[in-house]
Amino acid sequence: MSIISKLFGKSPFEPLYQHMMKVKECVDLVRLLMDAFIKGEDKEVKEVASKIFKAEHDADMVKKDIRNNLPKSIFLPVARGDLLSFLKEQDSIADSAEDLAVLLTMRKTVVPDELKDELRDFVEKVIETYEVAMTVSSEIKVLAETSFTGVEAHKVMDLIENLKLKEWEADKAQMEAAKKMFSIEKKLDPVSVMMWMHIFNELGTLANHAENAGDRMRMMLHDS
Amino acid sequence: MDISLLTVILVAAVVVGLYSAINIGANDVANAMATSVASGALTIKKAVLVAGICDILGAILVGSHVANTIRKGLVDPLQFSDRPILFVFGMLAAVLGSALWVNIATCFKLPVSTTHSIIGGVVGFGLVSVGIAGIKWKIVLYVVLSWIISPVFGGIIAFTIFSIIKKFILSSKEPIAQTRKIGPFFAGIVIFILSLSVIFKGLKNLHLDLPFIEALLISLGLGVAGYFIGKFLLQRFKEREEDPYYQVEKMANPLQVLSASYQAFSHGANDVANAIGPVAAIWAVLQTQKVEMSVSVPIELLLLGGAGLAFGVYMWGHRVMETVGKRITSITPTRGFSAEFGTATTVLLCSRLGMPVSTTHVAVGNIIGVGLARGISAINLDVIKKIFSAWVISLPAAGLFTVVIYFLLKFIFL
Repeated sequence: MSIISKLFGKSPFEPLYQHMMKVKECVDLVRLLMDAFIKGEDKEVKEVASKIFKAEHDADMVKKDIRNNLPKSIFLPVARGDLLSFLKEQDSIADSAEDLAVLLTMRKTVVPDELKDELRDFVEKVIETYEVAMTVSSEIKVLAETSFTGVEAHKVMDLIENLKLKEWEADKAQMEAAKKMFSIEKKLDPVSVMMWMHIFNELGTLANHAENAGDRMRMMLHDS
Repeated sequence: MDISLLTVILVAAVVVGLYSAINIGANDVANAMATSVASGALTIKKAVLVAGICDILGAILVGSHVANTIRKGLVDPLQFSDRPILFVFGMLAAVLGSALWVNIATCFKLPVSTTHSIIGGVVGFGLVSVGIAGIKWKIVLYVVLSWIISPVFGGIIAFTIFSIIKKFILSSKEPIAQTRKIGPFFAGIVIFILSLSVIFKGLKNLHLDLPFIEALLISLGLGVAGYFIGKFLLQRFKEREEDPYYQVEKMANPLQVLSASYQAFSHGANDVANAIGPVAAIWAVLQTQKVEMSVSVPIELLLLGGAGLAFGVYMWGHRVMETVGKRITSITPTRGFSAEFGTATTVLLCSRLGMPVSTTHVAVGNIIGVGLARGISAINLDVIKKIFSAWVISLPAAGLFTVVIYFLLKFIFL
C-alpha cells in the first residue's frame, strides 16, 4: 500500500500555477506604478512599489518550493530542464517589475509632458505582452490534464505566436519612446537621461522575459 | 502417521493462512480501489464492499492455479512419499516463516511482497529437506522471470491504453463525443477478458467445464453486453459548461470502477494462493494419508482464503484507503483505468498460468507505464530502487525463517 502512494511525487503543475498567480499579482501593479509615476504622485509610487516587493518575494518563495520538490528522481510528463527554465523565465518577469519599482523609487525622475504619450503607449504594449504570457501560463493545469498535446497544445501555441507579435510591438514602442526622449535631451539633465535609459530598458526586459516564458512553454508541448 | 498431530498442524496452518489472507487483504486493497476513492467515483464504503466481493470471486474462480504452483510446483511432494510428515512440517514452516518475515519487514517499513516471501519460504524448506536437486528449478526460474516480466508487460499495456486515450480522446477536438464512442469498447474488452478467464477452465470447481469455443462465444456475448451497458451509461451523461477534459474524467469514472473491480478480482485470483497454497498442501496429505499429486485445491479453502482477504479489506481497508486516497489525487480516472486495466490483465494472465506474481509490483509497473505516456504529473522513481532491494532481501530472509521453523518443528515433534 505505502509503496503505491510513495510512487506519486508532488505535482509541480499546481504550484507552477500558484507561481504564475503571484507573478501576475506583481506585474498587475506595474500599471498602477507607471500611472502614479507619470502623474508624479511620489507617495503612491512608493506604496505600489512596496506591494510589488512583497509579491515578488512571495513568487520567489513558491519558486524555491517548486525547485526543492523536483529532485532528479522525479519523472515528469515534460523534460525537467524545460520546466525549470520556464519557471525561471516566469520568475524573471516579477524580478523585472521589482527592478523597475526600485528605479522609480530610488530617484525622483520627473516625466516631461512631451514624453507622456509615448511612455503611456510603451507601458501599454508591455502590459499587453505580459498579459498574453499570463494567459499562456494559466493553461499549465489543463495542459497537464491533456498531457501536453492535442487541441489544447495548439491553442497555447497560437497564444505564443501572438505573444511574439506583442513583444515586437513593445520593442517598437520602446524605440519611439527613446527617440522622443532624445529629441528633448537639451531640456533634460544628464542623470535623467541615464535614468530614462534604465527605465526603458527595464520595461523592455519585462516584455522580453514574458516572451521567453512563452518560448519555454513551447518547448514543453508535443506535436501529435 | 499420527492423525491428531496432523489435525493440529492443519488447524495451525489454517489459522496462520487466514491471518496472512487478512493481512494481504488489508494491505493490498488500496492498490486497486484508492484511485476510485480519490477521484470520487466510489465512496470508501462502496469501495470496500466492491473490493471484498471481487477479491472473494477471484479467489474462488481462478485461485487454484497459483495455489497449485506453490503447493506442488516448486518442491515435488512425491519426494516425501516415505515421510509425508516432513512435507507437512515444511509447508507449515513456509506459511509461518513468510508471515513472520512480512510482519517484521512491515515494522521496518520495507515494501516486501507476500508472494516473494512465500516462494522464498517454500524454496528454503526444499533446499534443506531434499537438497538442491529436489527443487524444480525450471519452475522457480519461470516464477522469478515472471516477477521481472510482469511489471514490464503490464507497463506496456498501460502505456498503450493511455496512449490510445490520449490520441483519440484527449487530443481530439471533441473529447466528450469521442469518450462516448470509445469508452464502451473499453468496457466491452474488460468484461470479455474477465468472462473468458472465468468461464474457460475456470469453473471446474462448480463442475461447469466448457470447451474453448463455447467459452469464447459466451464471453464475446457478455463483452458485447458490456459494450451496450457502457454506451447506455455514457449516453446518459449530461454535458456541462465546464472544461471538457474534466468532464471526460467524470465520464471515465464508471470505467475506472470497472477496472478497479477487475484488479481486485485478479488480486484475489493470484494472492489467495500466498495464504492458502501451503495449507492446501497439508490438507491434501491429511485427506489421503500420503502425498498425492492429483488432489485438487478444495473450494472450501479457496473460499476461506477469499473470505480472509475480504475480511482484511473490510476491517482495515477504510483507513488504508483514506490515507492513500489523499496522496494519489493526481491519478485521474483515465489514468486509473489505464493502469488498472494493465495490472489486472497481467495479474489475471499470470494467475491462469499459475505464476505467483506480486500485484503491487505489477501495479507499480503499470503506473510507470502511464507516466511514460506522459499521463502522470510526477512519479518518484526512487521507489523502484526500494522495491528492488526489498525483493532481493525477501527471498533469503523468508527462506531463513522457514528453515529455522522447519528444524524447530522437526526437533519438537520427531
